[in-house]
Formats: sequence, C-alpha cells, structure tokens
Amino acid sequence: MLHVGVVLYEDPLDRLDRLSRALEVCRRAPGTVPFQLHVRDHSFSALKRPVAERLPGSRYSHAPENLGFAAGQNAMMKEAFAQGATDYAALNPDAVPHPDSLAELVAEKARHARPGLIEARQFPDEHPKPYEPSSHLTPWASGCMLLVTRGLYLALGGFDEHFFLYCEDVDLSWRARAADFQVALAPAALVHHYADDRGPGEVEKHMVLSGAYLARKYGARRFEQRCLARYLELAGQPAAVPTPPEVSRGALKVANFDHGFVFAERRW
Amino acid sequence: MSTAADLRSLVIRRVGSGRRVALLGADPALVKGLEANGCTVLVDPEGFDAVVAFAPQVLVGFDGMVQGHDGAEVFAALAQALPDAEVVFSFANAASASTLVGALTGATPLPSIAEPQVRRWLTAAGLKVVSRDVVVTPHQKTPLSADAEAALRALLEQVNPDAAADRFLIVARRGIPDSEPELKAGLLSVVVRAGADRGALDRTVFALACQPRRPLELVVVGGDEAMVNGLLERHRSVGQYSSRWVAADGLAAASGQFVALLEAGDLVYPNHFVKLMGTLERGTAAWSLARARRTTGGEYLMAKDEPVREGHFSPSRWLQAGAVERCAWVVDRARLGPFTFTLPEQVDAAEAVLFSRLAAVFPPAFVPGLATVERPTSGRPTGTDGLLEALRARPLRLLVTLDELLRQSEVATRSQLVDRLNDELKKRAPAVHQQLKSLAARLVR
Repeated sequence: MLHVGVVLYEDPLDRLDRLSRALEVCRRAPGTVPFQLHVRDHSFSALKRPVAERLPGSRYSHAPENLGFAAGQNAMMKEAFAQGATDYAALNPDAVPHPDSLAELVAEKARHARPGLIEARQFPDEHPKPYEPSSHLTPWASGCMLLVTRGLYLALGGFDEHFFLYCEDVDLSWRARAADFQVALAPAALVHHYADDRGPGEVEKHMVLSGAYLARKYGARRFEQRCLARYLELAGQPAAVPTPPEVSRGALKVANFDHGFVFAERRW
Repeated sequence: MSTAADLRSLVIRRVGSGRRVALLGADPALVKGLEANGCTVLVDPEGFDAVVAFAPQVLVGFDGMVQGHDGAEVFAALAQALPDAEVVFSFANAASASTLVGALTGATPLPSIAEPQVRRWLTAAGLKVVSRDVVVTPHQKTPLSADAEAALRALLEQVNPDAAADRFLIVARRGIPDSEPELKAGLLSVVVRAGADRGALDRTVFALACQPRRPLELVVVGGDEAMVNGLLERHRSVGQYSSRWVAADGLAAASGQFVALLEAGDLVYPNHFVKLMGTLERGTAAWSLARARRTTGGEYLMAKDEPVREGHFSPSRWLQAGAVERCAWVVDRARLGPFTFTLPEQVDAAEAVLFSRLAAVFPPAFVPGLATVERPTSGRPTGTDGLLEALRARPLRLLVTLDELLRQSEVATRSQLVDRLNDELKKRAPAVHQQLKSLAARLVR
C-alpha cells in the first residue's frame, strides 16, 4: 500500500481543511490508489486534535521542536516502510494534490525499470527545470509531492537530515541517479503549489543556508561562497554550515551548480 | 439612416393589420399607411372620453402625449380605462449622442425623454414592454468639425451603445415586466469557455478551485454538459464555489458583481484574483488587469513568455504587441454604468475590440509585478492578428492620445534630466563640457 506523509509546522487550520478536502477527493477518485496518511507535527503546540478532526484515520506523531522537513519525512518514511509500505509519498501541507495525482505517480513508477523518485508536476506555474518528454527522466525531483520507492529507501535511506528546509530533494535525487535509480516526473500528476509570491526573508535564509550546505557537500566552492555571502546579508551573521558526509564519485558527477537554484538548465 | 418615413413604416408594422387604432396626434401620411393596412383609425381625438368611447385595440402616441403632463399619470389613466389596449409609443432619446452633442455645442434642445423614465412609467401603470425598436435619424449640422463630432459621438456610444438611438419605438401591453437579476455584491463570477478538451478544462477548474478568492461562481460555457458538470462537481469540495453550465452567453448567466473571462486551458495563479480584486476594492477603477504569460509546447512546455515587459501599462503598446489577454482582467460591473460589457465569441479581434472600448472609457488599474495568469498559445492567433480590424472598428483616438501624452511626459522628464546634467558639467568642468560639445557637434554633422 502507498503511504503518504505530511510534515506540519504551525500550519493554519484553513490549510488543514483544504488538505483534508483534497485528500478526500483523491480517495474517492475513480482509479485511485488506496493510501495510509501519516502526519508529523513539529508545531510548538500540538495540532493533534485539529488533525484528528480533519484527517481521521491518519497516523499522528508530534515532535516538540521543529526538526525540519527532511527529519520529519524520514521519521514517517521509516515507520511506513517498517509497516510494509510499497511506496511512500512526501507531500507539502500547503500543496493541493489533484484528484488523479496519487494514481498517476504510481502509474509513472510502473513505466521505469529501476524507479527511485517520482515527482508530481508543479501546478499552475510549472517548475522550469527540464524533463525528457518521452522517458520523463529529470535531473532532480522536487519534494513538494514526491514518491519514494521502497527500493530506493532500502538502498539510500531517506533525506540527509542536515538539510532543514530546501535542497534535500536535490541531494537525494543526485544520490539516486548516482546509484542508477531513475528519477522522473509524472506529467499527469498535478500538485497545486505556488511559491513565487513568498517575499524575501526567512524563506530565502533557509534556501541559501541549504544551498551552502549542498554546495559544501558536493565541493562547489563558488556556489557555497555566494550562498554564505547572501546569508550574511539576510541574517546579519555568518551561517553555521554542518560538516557533510562524503558523497560518491558518481554523485559528484551528476551534481550541477551551473544554473543557480534551478540546478538544471531552465526551459524558460 | 432612418427618416420620418422609416418611423412611420415601423409604426405601421408594429401596429399590424385590421386593428382599431387611436392615433394621438395628426399625421396624414401615417393615417394613410395604417388605413392601407386595413386599420380603422381615430385621428387626434378631442379629449380622453373620445378615446375611451372609440375602444381602440391600439393607442399610438408620440412625445407630445406626455409633454406638459405627468407621464406616470398619463399611462396609468390609459391602462386603467383601456386595460386591453396595446400602447405604441415613440419618443426622442434624451441620452442620444445627437441630443448630447447638440446640448454641448449650444443648440436649442428638443424635447426628449430618458428611456428608463418611460419604462418606470409603464411599469407603474402595469404595462410590460414587448418590443423596442431603435430609430436613427439624419444628424443635424453642429459647429464642430466632422471628425471631432464623430469622435465625440463614438465616445458617447462607447459609454452607452443606446446613444446611437435618436428615437425609440416601444410597444407595451398589460403585464408584469421581467425583473432584471441584481448583481451579487462581492461575488466573483469566472466565465470559462470550454471546448472539447476535457484535460484543459480540468486544469483550469483545478487552478480556480485552489485560488483563495471567495465567494466564487464558475460559469462554464459550451462543451459537453455532462462532462463539464462532472468536472465542476469533482473540484467543488476544494473550491467551495457555486457553478453552472450554459450553452451560450455566459456573461448574461453570471450573477457576480465582478467578472473574469477565461478559456479552458488558462491557468490562474493563487494570487491572481486576490491582487486584481484587491486593487479594485481599494481604488475607483472599473477594471483591473495584470500581466499574463503565454506558454508554448502543449503538454511538454517549451517556453513561457510575456509579450510586453515594461514596468508600466500602455494600452496602445499592449495592443501593438498583441498582449491583450482577457484572462488577465477582472471587471467590476457595478462601475460600468450603461456600458455594454459583452464579448461576442467567434468574432475576429473581439478581445482587442472589447479591450479598446473598455480602455477608451474606463482607465484600468494595472497591477504591476510578476504575471499572475498563463495562457497556452497553441492554435490561437497571436501578435497583431485581427488588430487592424479592431482599430478600424472602434475609435482609439482618445486612447492613443492619452498614451502619447504619457509618453511625452516621460520624454520630458528625461530631457529635463539631460539639461540638468549639462548645466552641472558646464559649471564644474567647463573644459570637458566644451570637448563633449565639440564632439557632439561633429557627430551631428
């Protein structure tokens, strides 16, 4: 069975309402796949009751501090695969899955010989990174709505938990490709998610901090320096970047820092 | 161009044949025409009792019928005394371009009546309008040049198309008028034109369902009714909208104060309506517009582009660049007055014509910044296709003039800046200034 995991952090209740309605539509859609929902709550005040009311049947867990997207997803992924999940889909709480999206993710997985990561197509403003039109292979897959196969989890584990927010998906994709897993986009799996109207501030700070860590991990010194300089501008203090684990030669080969935070040649 | 003879023919046609007609006035040519049509005519009766005694089936009257009287009382008395008689009434239109231009240029105003006033009188008398004809008569000469007069007339007609009518001919009979549906305040109606592509409509409705502006009404025009209703139902729980399918004329079916016009395949970003309607609600404009992106490539998007990238809005520039996209507008119909807001489908350049008509009368509020809506271009004309037709069809003189003035003011600002720099350089570094001046003179030669 497919398991779906959502990490919450101080999410407004109307967002939970919308997510609840969208997942209910997914459950009822013709040709859908059954799924078990997990909710990992990083809010300071636990959202247990609102979650129970809005997402009945979900498996809820609460961490008393915000451990970040990667750690939250990893905790749920571990539980899901321990319970026998065939696949796991990470889902952002501010995203709205199209009624057909989960079925389309699973259908896309079936098209590949050694599937590792299958991402949904961001909607309505599609991400500009490319994918190969016939094979759907893509340089990296976004974590906004991302199917992780059991095979990939067993081979690589989940996300690198040194990432707090952003870029963890790029890193996992590069490691997946280096390990000969297919990383693909499911064109018919739409997920409504829009981030361009987020102004600078905390979001950009998280982004450049993660960018600096990713660059350090893959030895991209210039990219790292640019991120650190920007972080200093935004935060007024130097970034504390963790020491990354070593990555394989194969992963170093697929890493691409030539196109800024798109991490691939843009289509537009 | 209609004449008095045309008006008589129209009256004769509306009265019909073989009827008892009381003609409230004397017009031998009209009497002759009615009689030739088999009617029995009571001409210019002396007093109300004579009319009642004649028991006409049709009463024909003109402006003089209500002059010097309370129109409401006149129609009420007629309706009470002759409840089964039909009323055929013609009057000069107080809101006609001829009347207004005449008044503006100092001509002696002729008696005229506003149509809404006539309708109120009729309604109060228990009469319902069953037909309405527009009569256009030859224009009187005015002191304005022909060009200026034509531009003025066209502008008035853009505000209200009925300004083209010099007279109306109304037929009314006993009955209760259909009430005009009132616009629902604050409601956004999105009219979506559907085609045969289910996927395109599904994406459009999904994007609408996920954007946060409420209350929301979706009116889908065309496409297969069952397919459309299925899609609307599918996304309703996320979108929390009301919806309906209509075969045609979606704008007439829309009940919202605010309207937006999309085609299946158009995708609104979540902040699209929030920004456009916020701008309208905070300001006084009748419509707002944002940037739109065009996508190419079909299923596999190859490009997203914006035809115009300037940071300001220029109507003529947008028209020239073919950047007019209806999906990027929201219109507040409560601020349009009598302006006829319709978009004839399947008509070349209809979008550009509507844009021109709107922009010429109602300055839009432009929402700067990133594009907030996108439209696929495949299979659709792009660029300036049909634009020339649009320009020919509607006078854009006013629009272009405003645009020119704006551009000139920007040029003036740049010139002032150059002048100031020149003065400063001359004062602080006269030698350099002299050298540059000599160089410029050589280049100009």
